[in-house]
Amino acid sequence: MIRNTTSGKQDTIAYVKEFTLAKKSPRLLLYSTGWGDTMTVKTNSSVQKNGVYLYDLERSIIQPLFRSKGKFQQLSLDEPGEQAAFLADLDTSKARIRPLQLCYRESDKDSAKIIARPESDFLQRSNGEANWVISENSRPVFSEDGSKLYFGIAPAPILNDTMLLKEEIVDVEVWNWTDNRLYTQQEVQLDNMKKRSYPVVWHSRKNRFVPLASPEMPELRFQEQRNAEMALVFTEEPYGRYVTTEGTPHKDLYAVDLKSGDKKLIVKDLRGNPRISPEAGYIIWWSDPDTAWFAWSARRSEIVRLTDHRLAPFYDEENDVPDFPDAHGLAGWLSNDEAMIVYDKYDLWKIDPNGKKNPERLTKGRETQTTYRYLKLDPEERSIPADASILLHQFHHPTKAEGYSWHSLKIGKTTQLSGGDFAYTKQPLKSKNADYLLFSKGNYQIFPDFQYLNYGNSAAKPAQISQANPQQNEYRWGAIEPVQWTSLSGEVLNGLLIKPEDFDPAAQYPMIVNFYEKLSDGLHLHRSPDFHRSQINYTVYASKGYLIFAPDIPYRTGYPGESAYNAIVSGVTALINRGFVDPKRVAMQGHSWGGYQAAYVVTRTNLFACAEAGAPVVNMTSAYGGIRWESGLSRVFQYEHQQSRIGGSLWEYPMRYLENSPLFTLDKVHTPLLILHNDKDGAVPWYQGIELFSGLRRLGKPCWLLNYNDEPHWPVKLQNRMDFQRRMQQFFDYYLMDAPQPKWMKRGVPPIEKGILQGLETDD
Amino acid sequence: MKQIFLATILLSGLLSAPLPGFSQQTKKIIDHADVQRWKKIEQQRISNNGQWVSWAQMPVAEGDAALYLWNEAGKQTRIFPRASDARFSSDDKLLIFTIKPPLDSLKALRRKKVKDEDLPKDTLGILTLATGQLEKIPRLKTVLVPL
Repeated sequence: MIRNTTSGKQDTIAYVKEFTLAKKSPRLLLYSTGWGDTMTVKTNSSVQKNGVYLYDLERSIIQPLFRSKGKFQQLSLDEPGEQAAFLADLDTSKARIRPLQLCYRESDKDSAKIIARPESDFLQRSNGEANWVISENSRPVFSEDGSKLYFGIAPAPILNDTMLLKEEIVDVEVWNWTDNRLYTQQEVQLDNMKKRSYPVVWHSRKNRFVPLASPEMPELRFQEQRNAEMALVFTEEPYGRYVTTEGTPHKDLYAVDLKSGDKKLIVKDLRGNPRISPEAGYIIWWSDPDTAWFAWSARRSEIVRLTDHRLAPFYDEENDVPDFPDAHGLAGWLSNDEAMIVYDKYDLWKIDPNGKKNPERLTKGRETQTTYRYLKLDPEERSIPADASILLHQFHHPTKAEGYSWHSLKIGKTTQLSGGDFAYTKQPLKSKNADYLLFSKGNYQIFPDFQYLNYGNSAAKPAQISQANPQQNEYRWGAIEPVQWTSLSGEVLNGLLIKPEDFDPAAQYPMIVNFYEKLSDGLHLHRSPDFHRSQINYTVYASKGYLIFAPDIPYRTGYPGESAYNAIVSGVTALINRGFVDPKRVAMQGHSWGGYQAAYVVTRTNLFACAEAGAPVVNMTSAYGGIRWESGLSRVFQYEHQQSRIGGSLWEYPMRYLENSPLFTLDKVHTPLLILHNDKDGAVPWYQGIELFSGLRRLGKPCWLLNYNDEPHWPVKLQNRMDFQRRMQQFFDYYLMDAPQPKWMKRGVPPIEKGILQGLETDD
Repeated sequence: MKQIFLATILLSGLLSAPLPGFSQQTKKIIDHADVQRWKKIEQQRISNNGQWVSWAQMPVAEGDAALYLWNEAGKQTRIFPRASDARFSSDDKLLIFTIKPPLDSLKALRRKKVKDEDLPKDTLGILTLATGQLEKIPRLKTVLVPL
């Protein structure tokens, strides 16, 4: 159905299988199996047959581009809606590999013609390999200037023998140690691999087809408009096995000439993420081992190192995993590829991609410990004019106050637009043709409702225009504050403390400690009541009268367990010393990496009355050799280089793996433990939860395991999340609030009652 | 379609402060069932001329969304029950959105084992901003709006 919203005129085209609209004009490309007389707009053919049609809505003209028996798919128009491309399957046989043809309609021509077919030269293979096919899984795409058409080709798929009965098919996986990617990883990617295609560019004026990628060189990145005659292409194939130890593979990077298909080597064994500049003048990347930005100039065909970390730190200064630090990232480019805008921890820097001028700092955030980040207000923007005023998000580290500032690139001045003790969204919207901003800001007390600001008027203040949760006023809420203390190793640490409403410093409150890496920057986050998948809701627990403490945890490589113990126990002790914490009613709650730490800490101290550990690793020696089933990756890299922070292999540091694993010291535990671990966990194998439960049970220590069937790393289904939150609250209320013990804790829920009786009730 | 006009006075100070006379003792604890009262707001849009804003408001847990439309001229909010996925036309004249069947009745029909193809379908809503007139087109599959 097509409606002209100005005239109100409406038309219906029947039996439309697929349609697409041009980006910059009202032109519609559609495939219909034939619609007869359903339309008011008449076409030159009395009976509309199976085929592809171009409908110019402005001029009310429908033009048949291709009428024939067969099927059509992957319809595509260029931006003005003049050139069209689509795939046709005109073969009437039952061949399992469909002989697809690529059709193209030139601007102003009456019909579309076939430009590529199974017999086309670029699909033929001479080395005994089967010929390639035009891929049905790739939609043709025109370059923005319309000069090029891109489409996908693929090797002919391997066909199974359909005559075999199910029992005659062998079911074996062959894992080969020389596989670049682990078998399980290949299996997770199988559907994508089946649909994988390799781009070919067609130069319409010269009628030339140039294949750009292949299984040996599979990854392509184009300039956004796809106009440029150069793209970057890379392969990770020779380095696939680094995924196991480092988490990401290395790359061999080339520039490919779209006219000839020739590839020029830029760099081998790159550890970084290459990108092409807006005007395709440069290919840039952050090199992890060099801790520096690099650029390759297309014109000069040479690599220049752009930054030196001894002069300006563009890397993560707080990196505490045993790996190269990441970059703080790229904000964008100035127009005409003149300069890159790059971040350090605080500031924006202008960097000359030729490396001739020194990096120039644009903002003065480091002086005040304020982090500035660029906000892209125009989703279509590809580069930033050199004299523009850009909007920045600001985060003041000491107070966690946020806001927005304008920065004039022309005069180098930063002026605050709005700010305060709130979290401001990093996705404000700007109206396209006028000076209005729509954004949300909130804090622990105030829900982040929408604010509307006419920034063109310097006297205008943001006006709140939504009011999503007026019922908040009916409830006890609480308040949040930053806390600092000195750790057992003498370091000053930060954390968050949430106090119930009407907090009385002379009273003693129960407290739950929740942690995951560093959380103290979230001081001004609003925490709406919800049924979270894995964490306690601070607001809900504070409303019940709990204190919540969230300590930051800094790490020492090789000692993640002790690092957590050091931060958590020192923080809890410091708060107990302030008098308002009931030392007999302190609990811990953590999930995943936080779940591991909760399980570790209870083996080291009896400070806690109870703890909940979600999806915890308890045995690093078995978890090291496990699989992350969601991605199929081996878990090795996490221990050697990433979050688990052991810093080497099981055979280099066997004692670190043992000492950091709570399993081997479960006999020291005197803390009742609630464990959540779901049987479809694709991050931490649920056998880790079983090892913890079995060990505690063998030792005669109170513990419960919740397994939400077929759920991943956390319960996702609403009813399961609600159930988990209810049981966790009952567990904490029992140990910390003298609430009665529910049946599921006292006697369990046997399988015969599962899903029917929940055991949430208490005896009295 | 029920057309609800909200003539709320939106002063941010007033919104965040507790209601006067609402003493601390009468405040409730947020219990499990109370969590269901909380809403999230998303899908925010602003028209090209900046005069119109829309967003969807929905329960944090489960339930029907509602579409909110606010305009600068009248400082008024209009609510479209069960509507979401809105966008403004590029000429600032229309708001185009999807109206979904009520979740409760969908569930009730599924409990009666009604087949998927016989369940109520989405409806397309086209609102003319200048007149406030809403047109509804049933059985929506997809909608494309040119830039």
